Amino acid sequence: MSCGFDESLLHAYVDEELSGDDKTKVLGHIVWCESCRKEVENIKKLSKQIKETFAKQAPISALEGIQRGIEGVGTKRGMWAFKYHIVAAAAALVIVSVVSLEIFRASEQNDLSEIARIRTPALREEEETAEKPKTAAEEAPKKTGKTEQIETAFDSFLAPPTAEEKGPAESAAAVEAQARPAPAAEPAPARSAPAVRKAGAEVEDLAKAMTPPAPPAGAIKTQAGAPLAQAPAAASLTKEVEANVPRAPKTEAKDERLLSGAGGGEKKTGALSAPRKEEKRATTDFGRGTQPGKESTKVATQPAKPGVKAPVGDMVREAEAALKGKDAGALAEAGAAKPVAAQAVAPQAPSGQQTLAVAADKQAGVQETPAANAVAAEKAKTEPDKEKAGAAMRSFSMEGLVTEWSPIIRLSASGQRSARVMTLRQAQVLGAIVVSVGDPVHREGMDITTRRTLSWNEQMVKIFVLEAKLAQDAPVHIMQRTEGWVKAEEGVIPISEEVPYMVMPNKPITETGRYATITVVTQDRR
Amino acid sequence: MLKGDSGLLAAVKRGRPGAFEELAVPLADRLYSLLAGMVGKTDAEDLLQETFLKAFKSVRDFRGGCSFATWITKIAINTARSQVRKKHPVSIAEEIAGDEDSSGDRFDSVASDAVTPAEAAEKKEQKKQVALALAKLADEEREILLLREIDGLSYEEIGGVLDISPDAVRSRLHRARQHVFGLLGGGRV
Repeated sequence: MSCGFDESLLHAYVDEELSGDDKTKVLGHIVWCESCRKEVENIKKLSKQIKETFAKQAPISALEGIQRGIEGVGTKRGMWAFKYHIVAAAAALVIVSVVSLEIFRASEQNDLSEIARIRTPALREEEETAEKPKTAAEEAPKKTGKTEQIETAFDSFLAPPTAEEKGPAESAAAVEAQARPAPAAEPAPARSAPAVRKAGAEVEDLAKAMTPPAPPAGAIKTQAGAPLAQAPAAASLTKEVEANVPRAPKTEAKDERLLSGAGGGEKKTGALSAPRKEEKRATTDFGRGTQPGKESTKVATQPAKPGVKAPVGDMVREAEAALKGKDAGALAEAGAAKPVAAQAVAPQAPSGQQTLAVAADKQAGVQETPAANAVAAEKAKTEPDKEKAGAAMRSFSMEGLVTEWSPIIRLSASGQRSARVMTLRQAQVLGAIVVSVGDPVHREGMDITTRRTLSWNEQMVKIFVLEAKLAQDAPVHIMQRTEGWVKAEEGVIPISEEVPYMVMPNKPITETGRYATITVVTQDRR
Repeated sequence: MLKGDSGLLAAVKRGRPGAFEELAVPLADRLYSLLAGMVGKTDAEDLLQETFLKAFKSVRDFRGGCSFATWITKIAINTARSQVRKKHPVSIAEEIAGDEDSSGDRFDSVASDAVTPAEAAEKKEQKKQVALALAKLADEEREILLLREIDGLSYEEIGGVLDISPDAVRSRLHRARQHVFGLLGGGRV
């Protein structure tokens, strides 16, 4: 340019991208510079020309294609969501089943342990000693191998017990068996042949006494058969026990260690006030409550109280009571889990359709027309039962060539698109009826929503009942405005069926003169 | 981003049916015009659908760093670029110019009431010249002109779409207009 002014500033000025000093500079320049003023005019003119040349309206077919594409993707997403829900429901079902099974098993085990407690009074002592023969049996192959050893061991096993072998050693063995259910490291120091023999004898008696082989009885029978088969092991065990027979003070120390939680190392020689039998019984009972190993551990972790000498029976009873309370609590928790899980898989009360329907009402701001209300009232009179059952009339008032992309609520009649629109396509998704109606009055009408010139082919009222979320047999009332609100058709329109409805040429259906008005009253289930 | 847009965008991300259409369909005309200016009317329809579908598929990943309109415009531009390379510019220009004869656009129906037949013919010829001139521009110049004049985007928004600075937008726009003036003969419309 001849004046040498920065032209890009002029372009920015036209584009309203200048402010402050730059804008002042441009304004001050174009006041006196005619060529720049002309340049500004030319830029504005070019902008207008480009707009007029290139600004076009997206064809309906393109919008329909978009909608189809989006629906396709949405359907795939929906399928994934559906699959997810199925998996979630299956997982919930599995959890509920597992919890129920565990509860059932727990209750069954409790019952069996109760039965065992009632039916096998001698079993308590037997269990104390039963583990040792088993350990010996495991070790047997290593220690034997010669026939003489087997015979000797068998003889010694069958020999009558001496007075020395009874008593303290037996008690010690029993208590230690409870305190340490799996003494792998220690080679059974508290075991004695008399104890094993006693256990074997009692178990044999018990096996005879017991009728059907309940789980505890089965275990006992297996152990009852063990002594004969495990004779060599028992013999070697006997030798070990004879070499390490624990004496009474040690037993007391072990008892105290067991109940105080010292767990070894610290040996106290203080006498326990409770009788030994009571100790054994209480410990054994306690051990059989539910799971012997765990509960023994629980008792062993009771804090030691040096100097306090509570009766062992009382202490055990307290611990047992506490554990029973805990078991009850755990069972209560397990029981509580069931209803929660059941709630998770329980069907939801409000259906998706109801939610969508409510959302549709809220969003669409459904226009209640007098005619629709009248029809609704009439319908309510004729079908009072349905009304009572929750069926509701809904009406949508539509004007113009209503396509699936037309807004339901058109705020302006000038053809401007409303800022807040809800297309009929969306309404259809939400459960409304989609209606398309041409302009029956003017041969060259124009669609107010698309500003597209209508052809004669479109001078036909078409009623599209697309995939509305209505039942297949939902009644659809189509109202047509002529000289008043006249019910044009009432009946059942199958879903997804296009119903061409010709407008009577001599009876314009509109009062606004340019666009048809149709009200569709649908009755759906809320 | 407009207030309504952010609400709708949140609804789209939540998966509310129809929310995407509410958000995107009002932009359809603008995008169609842009695409038609770039590749011609024939392919613009397909590209518009492709653009919307791409946007719908990836809208959940849209972080909101720019407006939704800018974001979807960027998608449209990128979608159109591949198509532009396949087509001869003159054929695009002829297609655009040919559209004027069909008088299918909304402005014709409004403007035709106010002008005489002679004026209308003159106007049509001017449009044809403009269409041909734009068709002869380099792709980047045509893009920036269409984004500014049809979409009405600000320099900053155009910069967001084309990944350039606002200053670069200003200079490129200036250059594009000068080029058009030159192509229109005598330098001016």
